[in-house]
Amino acid sequence: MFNALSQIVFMQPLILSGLILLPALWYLLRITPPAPRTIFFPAVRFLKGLVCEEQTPSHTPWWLLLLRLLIAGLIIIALAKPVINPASSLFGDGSVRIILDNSWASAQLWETQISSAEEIITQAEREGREIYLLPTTPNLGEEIITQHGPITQSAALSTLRGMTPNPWPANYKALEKAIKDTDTKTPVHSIWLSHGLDEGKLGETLRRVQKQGSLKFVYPAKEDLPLLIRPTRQALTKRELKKGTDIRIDIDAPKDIAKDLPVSVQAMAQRNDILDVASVTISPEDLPKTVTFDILEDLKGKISRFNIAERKGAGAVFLLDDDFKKRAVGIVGTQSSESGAPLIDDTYYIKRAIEPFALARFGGIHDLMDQGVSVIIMPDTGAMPAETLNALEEWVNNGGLLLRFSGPHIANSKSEQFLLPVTLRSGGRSLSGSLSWDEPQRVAPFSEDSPFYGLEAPEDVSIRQQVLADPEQNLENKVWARLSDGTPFITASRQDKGLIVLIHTTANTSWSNFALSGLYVSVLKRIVRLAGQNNINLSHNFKTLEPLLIMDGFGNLVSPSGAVQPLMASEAEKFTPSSLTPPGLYGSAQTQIAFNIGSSNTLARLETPSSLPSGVMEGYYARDYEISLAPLFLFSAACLFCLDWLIMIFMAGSGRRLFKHFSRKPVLPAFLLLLITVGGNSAFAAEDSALKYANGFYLAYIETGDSTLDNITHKGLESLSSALSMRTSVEPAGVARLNPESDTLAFFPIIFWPVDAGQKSYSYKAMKNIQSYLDHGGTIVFDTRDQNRSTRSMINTENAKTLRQITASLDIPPIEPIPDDHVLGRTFYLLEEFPGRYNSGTLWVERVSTGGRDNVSSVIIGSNDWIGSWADSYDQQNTNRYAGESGNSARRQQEMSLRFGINLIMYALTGNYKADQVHIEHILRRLGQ
Amino acid sequence: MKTVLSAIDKLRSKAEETSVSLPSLMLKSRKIAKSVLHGEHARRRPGTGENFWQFREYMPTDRPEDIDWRQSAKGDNVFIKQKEWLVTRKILFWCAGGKSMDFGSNPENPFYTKQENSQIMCLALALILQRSYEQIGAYGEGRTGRGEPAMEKLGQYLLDRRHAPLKDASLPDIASTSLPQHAIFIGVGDFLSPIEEIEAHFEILAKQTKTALIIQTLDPAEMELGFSGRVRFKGAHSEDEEVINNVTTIRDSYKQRINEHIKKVEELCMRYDWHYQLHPTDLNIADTLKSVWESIERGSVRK
Repeated sequence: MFNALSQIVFMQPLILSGLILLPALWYLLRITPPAPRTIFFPAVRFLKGLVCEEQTPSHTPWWLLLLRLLIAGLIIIALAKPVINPASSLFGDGSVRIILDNSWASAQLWETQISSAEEIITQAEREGREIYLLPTTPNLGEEIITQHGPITQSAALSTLRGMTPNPWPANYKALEKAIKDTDTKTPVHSIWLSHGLDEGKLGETLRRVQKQGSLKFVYPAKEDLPLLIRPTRQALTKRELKKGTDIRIDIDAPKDIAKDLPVSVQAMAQRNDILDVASVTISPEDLPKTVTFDILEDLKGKISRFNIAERKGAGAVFLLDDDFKKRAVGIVGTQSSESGAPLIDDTYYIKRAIEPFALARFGGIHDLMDQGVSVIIMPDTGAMPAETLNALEEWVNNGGLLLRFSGPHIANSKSEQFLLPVTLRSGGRSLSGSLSWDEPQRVAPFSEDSPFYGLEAPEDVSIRQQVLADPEQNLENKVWARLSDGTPFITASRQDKGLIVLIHTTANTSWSNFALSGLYVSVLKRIVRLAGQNNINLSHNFKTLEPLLIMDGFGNLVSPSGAVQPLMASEAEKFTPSSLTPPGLYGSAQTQIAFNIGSSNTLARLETPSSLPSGVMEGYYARDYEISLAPLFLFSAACLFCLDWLIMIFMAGSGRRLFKHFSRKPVLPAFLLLLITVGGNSAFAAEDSALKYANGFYLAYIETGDSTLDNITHKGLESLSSALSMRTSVEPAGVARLNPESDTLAFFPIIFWPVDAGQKSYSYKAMKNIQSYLDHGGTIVFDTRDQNRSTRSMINTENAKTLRQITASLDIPPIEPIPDDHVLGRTFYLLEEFPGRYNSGTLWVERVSTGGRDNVSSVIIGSNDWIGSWADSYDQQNTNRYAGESGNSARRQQEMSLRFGINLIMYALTGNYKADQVHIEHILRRLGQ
Repeated sequence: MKTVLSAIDKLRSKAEETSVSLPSLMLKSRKIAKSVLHGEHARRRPGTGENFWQFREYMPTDRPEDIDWRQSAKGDNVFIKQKEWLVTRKILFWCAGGKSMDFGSNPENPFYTKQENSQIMCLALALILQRSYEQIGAYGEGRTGRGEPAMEKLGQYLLDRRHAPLKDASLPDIASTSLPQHAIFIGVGDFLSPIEEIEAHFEILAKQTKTALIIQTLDPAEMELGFSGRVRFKGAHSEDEEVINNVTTIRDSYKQRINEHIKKVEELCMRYDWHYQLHPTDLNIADTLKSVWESIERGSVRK
């Protein structure tokens, strides 16, 4: 206890002298009773001689006095800024230098590093010492490290705040150079706030630093050591290859990492949607840890990066590029034109089969190789120029996958056979023809050592013609699939690093109906997947790779500044992240190549500093830094003050008086009520409303705060709601009014937002709420309701300005005026225009709807005041306002506006359902074609 | 003069307002009174009319002009209409005045000072009595009268009382006046003077009249002492002043004292067989009037 007390230090001890005023305060409080009120009272005679039983209440009772003195004392003590456990004084007495590790590995430790740096700076200022600040990495675009200092405390703190971790490794050479430049007349006490990794030759650098004075090296805790995602180095086992588990990455960590550290790796899509999460535990004996994702094939293409959920930083993010997402597959030949006769064209079948999982490229062999495809599919080809053949062979030898189909050309090839896994007999074999009594053969079940193992060979696939392999010694090993009579159907062989696969029938239907079966697609998919895992096929077309998006120190992708240099394509294989070329996406619009820290060669192993040079002090980031007691004191003073207040109320009188007090000043009951409401009811209320909104379909709108407008909106939506219930199977449960600051928006498929110039701006939290709503498939209809006021397409009206202001901080995809064939015009009614109270305003929708939201635009912006029109039709039901000729057109416009509303709801609920071609015929007929 | 008149009018209108709610009160009290009468006379005198009191057979000692010819023509006997209330009573009002009465603790009360309250009380009572053809007057003025002029006079008297010096305003000025015989004395005031003084005055008053009605008007604050904290109380006399440090603590003992005083005043009235009524100013005047009227009708005040 005393030990703890002795550690309390006052930062402003002079203020404590205020405590001597307390006795004076006591005296003052004691001797001045409140001045008596004077009251005229005829019956004063009866008061004569009555003695007050207790005199004290007119003075303050001593214990109350004591309480107040305590409050005053607490406030004085709080002002004197007491701190417990103040930072111990710094070693030595010269200048102080903070060496701050800010390479990629610092991101997860950054807060700790900064707070302990702040601690040291404060302490150094207290001791009146010079401060130097030195990062271990150069800034973006620079190659030297600048040392800050000597600087004052405030300058040091602001410099510190300006620093961020950088996504490249530390540069100890540059660091040493910066140290050398320091004027060392006095010894410098350096404190190295490390992230726990040795990025090079740390020992030497430490020794250099130590020479200038003393050095303290601060380690992070074991569980705070950095983690790194790398591409997996573990080859797929044959079984896994067959099974088709596919996406896997490694998590690496230094050997000193804490045992059984739980880590979850997220597979993320482009827009920060989490597609899959894999949880593993990391242990020092099992490094690197391989994480396997068993993810749906369709989703696989959407993965844009992996990251470690628990960590932030460039090392915890692994970007994927095109190569990973969809393989480019080259098809030799020309793309069959739709107008021709595609069904006899080989390439047509191949293209249709690989489209779901690969990018089909067409062209000659040279073109394809230039485009950097990883697989080349060659339909029946008998011969090719020697030059081309050599190039193709070299390409295969370098790891390319060549898939060939058979056909009459191969079968009857007069020239020498080339690039085939097996030697073929000339002529082929016809199983069913007018002169053959053989039955067409089926595909035999795949054997266990075939890459197709697990696929089912359908009964109805029949092969009428095939090419036959000459029997040879190791033919068995080359056969991946057989026909039911045992003849090879698919054969493959390795050629240097590459692979050649032959399918012994045609790619089209002339020799078999294989091309019409599902097996065709599955077989092609499995073959394409076998294409070399790690070869980045850098195209020869690009000399340099321009930076597209680069990572910052916390692993976020940002647009590159001019300081980022393009990568030389020739050096790309040996990519090392640096201040000039930070990790990120490089390439061109067509090709994007991801460079990650994890794939850099210099980081083959993560190592902790083995042993510190002698004389270097060790330290750990302490978790308990100096704690300021001032808030505690102020809080207890506030509590006592409340107590004092309560006592005053009770002393003022009991029973009736107390009641009277409350009834006259309803502050306290209101306060208590508020507490209860805030504490309990609001939570219940939120839960209640969540349950309510989740259980039905509610039309929702954002309240603008303008009660007239809100009422109109409410009315309009009720009108739409009743029209929906009457005419469609959508039966809204009601209308909800939303405040984006506090309400959950997730329950509503569509939200209406009438824009009003007087609208208040929303907080960051609200905007985040709205953004997340839009990101997760929500749709917001903005209506500026001012078509009559805008001269040209809602540019300059007040409401449009407000809309721009609101949406400025929202990430809204590019929008365009609604195209004629937009699905919004035919989700329920066929509409050509979208009138509200006004009819000529333009309706804006998202240009290209992002994937995953069924082509529903996330924002719909217009100025026709639809809600107003719906509200009018609601009113009109009762009043029958429009009569006569002009009334008819007005009524018609209202009806059209209601129809638009119904279309809008249908659009939000069903998405591109009506964009389907099913009804196109009827639609065309009705459109009067 | 004009202002005085308008003040009187105002006072009267307030009194009228109070007695506006009196018709039902009158009706009730009359009913009660009548049921008492009916109880006594029902068998002997069936079929009596509104203004009818009693018929009696003519006797030679009666005056001939008292004969009710209509009644006598119905039969053989000659009747005279006897009126019980033929002898009207003189009723003299006295109202305490001065600074002491000019006190009220609740401004929301329509008649908020004791003075006003008492004046209204007197006037309302006078109005009722005047309707019963009683002669009303002010104590100390000596003369009684009927109808509007008497009301005017009484009003003027009551107004004057407000400015009367305290010495002779807090208790009836017994020395200078005497009461006509059988006159009824109605005194309204706070009667906060020392009980000895009150006793002395009442003793002399009791020699002048046998019938009296004392209404003690007190403010609720005077009965409850509804103050708190540190208060300097100032009395009607400039020398009366008392500083109480904590009123709450002495409230009970004060209440005990004032209640004792009230009880003593009541006992004093009982001694002379007078009617006594306590009227806190927060009570409805009509209610108090009702109970006063009842007691008058019941005869406790009647001679």
